Amino acid sequence: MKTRGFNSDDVHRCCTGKLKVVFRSRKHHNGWFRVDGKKVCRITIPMGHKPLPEKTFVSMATQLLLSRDEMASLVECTITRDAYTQMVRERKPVA
Amino acid sequence: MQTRVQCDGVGDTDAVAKLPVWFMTDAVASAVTEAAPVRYSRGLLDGDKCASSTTSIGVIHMVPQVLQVPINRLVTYSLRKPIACMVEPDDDEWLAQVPDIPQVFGLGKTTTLAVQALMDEIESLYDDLLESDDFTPDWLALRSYLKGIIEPR
Repeated sequence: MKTRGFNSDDVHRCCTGKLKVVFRSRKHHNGWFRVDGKKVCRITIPMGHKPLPEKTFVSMATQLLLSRDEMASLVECTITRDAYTQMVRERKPVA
Repeated sequence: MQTRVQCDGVGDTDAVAKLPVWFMTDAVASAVTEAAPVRYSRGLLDGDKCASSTTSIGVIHMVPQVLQVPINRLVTYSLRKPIACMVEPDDDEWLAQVPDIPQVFGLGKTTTLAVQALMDEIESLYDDLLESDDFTPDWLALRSYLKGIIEPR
């Protein structure tokens, strides 16, 4: 599993394509992941195309209620949207 | 804030100095409110000469640490009380985070840009939370918290 070298575009593509997150842009890109119509997780993606720094990548994973390795799996598409939604349900009360 | 420095002075190879949060650059201070108590016109930098109370003059070699920077205002909002922000190196950039609001961070090429990005992030989150009520309970609790400390300018 690739644990380093993801860039903003990789994460952005994953969030928009797989998680159906709609982003807005200010200094960074921001978007919400919804479960049952509720906004559950807010992901922040820095601008730019360089590889994301390690601590920043972990912070982004934390925003999505994931560990760094889980986040890497999500971006690499080994975690599906349904699987991710189930993980979120287990980690945070949605109702 | 306690910052660890290494000092080349005779007999003082591993000094621990208490420096104000403004020790880095004036740029950091400019990222926060004008009311911030800037105690040094130019802070101590890597390579600066220093002296302790017990030894001769040496040269500071800063060890990268987490910096604490109070944010006293946002981009377009004011704050009723300062927000404690932590800034730390992240590869060749700087990552600014708020322990009280772990849902946001700011990334920048410099400490100033990282703090400014964080200020924008806090404001952006606050605006998002005011838009509707379709959030999970933890976000609604955060909205209440932010309403308590943020006010229009």
